[in-house]
Amino acid sequence: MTRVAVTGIGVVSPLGNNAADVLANACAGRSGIHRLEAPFAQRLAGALVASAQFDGSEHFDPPRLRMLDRVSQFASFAARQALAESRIDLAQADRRRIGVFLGTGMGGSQSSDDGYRSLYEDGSDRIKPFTVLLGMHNAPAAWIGIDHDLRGPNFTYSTACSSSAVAIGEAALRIARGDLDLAMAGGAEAPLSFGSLKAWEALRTLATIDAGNAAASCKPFAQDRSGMVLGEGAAVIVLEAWERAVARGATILGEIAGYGFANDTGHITRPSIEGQAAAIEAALSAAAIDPSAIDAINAHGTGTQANDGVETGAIKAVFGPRAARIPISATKAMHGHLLGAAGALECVLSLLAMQRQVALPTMHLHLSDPECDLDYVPNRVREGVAARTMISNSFAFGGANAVLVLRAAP
Amino acid sequence: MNTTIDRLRVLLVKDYKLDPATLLPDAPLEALGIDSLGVAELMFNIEDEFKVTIPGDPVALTTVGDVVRYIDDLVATQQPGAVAGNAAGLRTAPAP
Repeated sequence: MTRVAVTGIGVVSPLGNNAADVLANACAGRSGIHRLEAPFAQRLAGALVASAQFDGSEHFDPPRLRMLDRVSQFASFAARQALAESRIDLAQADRRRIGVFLGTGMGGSQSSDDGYRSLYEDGSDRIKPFTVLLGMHNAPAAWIGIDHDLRGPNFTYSTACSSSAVAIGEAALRIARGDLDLAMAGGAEAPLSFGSLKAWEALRTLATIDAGNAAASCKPFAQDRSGMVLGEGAAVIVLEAWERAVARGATILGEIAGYGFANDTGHITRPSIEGQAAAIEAALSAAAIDPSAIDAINAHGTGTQANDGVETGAIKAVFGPRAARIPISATKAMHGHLLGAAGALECVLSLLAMQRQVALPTMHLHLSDPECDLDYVPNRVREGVAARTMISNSFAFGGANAVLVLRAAP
Repeated sequence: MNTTIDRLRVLLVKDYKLDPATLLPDAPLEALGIDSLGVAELMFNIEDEFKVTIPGDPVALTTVGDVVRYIDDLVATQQPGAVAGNAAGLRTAPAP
């Protein structure tokens, strides 16, 4: 098996639309969470979102833009950035050996929502001709392929909140096996439509608004945590075989060293310590490393009552007494829950944090929960953390638990 | 009253940011960046603008002029009282 290098990073997120801004804002503990300003906000119980400051008309020509749901705009833009950073000369590449692996939980849900509104609310018998093309889950990946003429496998993974961790893991496996020279991998999500927010609200998983500071409403691992905040964006990375990257003089930004998946069959939403621990163990096993090799963790850390206690238990189950000494970052307190893009964004944040030698903070953690008693790097970035190997956890409804093992650049 | 081609130009300029000067009757739609998918969307917008219903039957529309004639036919059939907007405008357009 070949080692898998990361040679490009692209991102659109509530913390910024390039890697440098995202890292700077995450280190500063800034929150991208805010009250939703939309005509339908008053019909939501807790109108909180983490939106990306992104205007598609600045990046796409009108004919193309009209064919892109916001989720595809994010994916295309992030892929462009990642490819540019990788400095790959596509003209010299065998395009049949370049794949696209993208995760999304909800695809073009904004466009589907628009279509339903015109049918059901406006009473129209007509629906926009592009509705299917805008809404289909594989549109973001397809557009990346079209934009850059990438003719290898073009796959979309939809495993709810672990979609993009799965996409990156599956892409890495193909690179490691030698099936492909290069892969664009990551995830995209644009779930801030009325219908989608309302559906999540009905599930009673969303955070209530912090009366004093809306931006601090998502409080992973805190006793007063009340739920998650939906966020939007995309993260796409370029993966390539280590030797090829070295041979062409690429700047290596990190390594995907392992990927584990374990399906939790106990319940459609309720997580279990066993299921999450099994995914972590599978990832460590795939990377052929001992738990003692893990220096830091990016937690799934949604800020829901259900996840954070169970995740703490899973980390203890795998790492034993050493769990208390591993810095654990729950960055969703700042960027919200990007659902199908969350794993990719957190993979990127983990790689950037290792590069910068910091542990990112878990913000808004002031009231500690006896059930969550590990080192979550509360409220302030920790400098001088020379982590070389991290795991990034992504646990999903449906029981789809995925974990990536990430290694710092040499 | 604006002719059909004027009103069509407004639609195309809005959606495709095209230069109105290029939207001559003999201009091929493909060359303007309006492929078969674009035509499907254009039909939808024409229904809104001209208050007509596009029949389900496939129709071959290659140029801007084809679209104009198609609209005028629909208006003539579906809104018998309306004045056909621009047949004259098309006839006086320069020959290809």
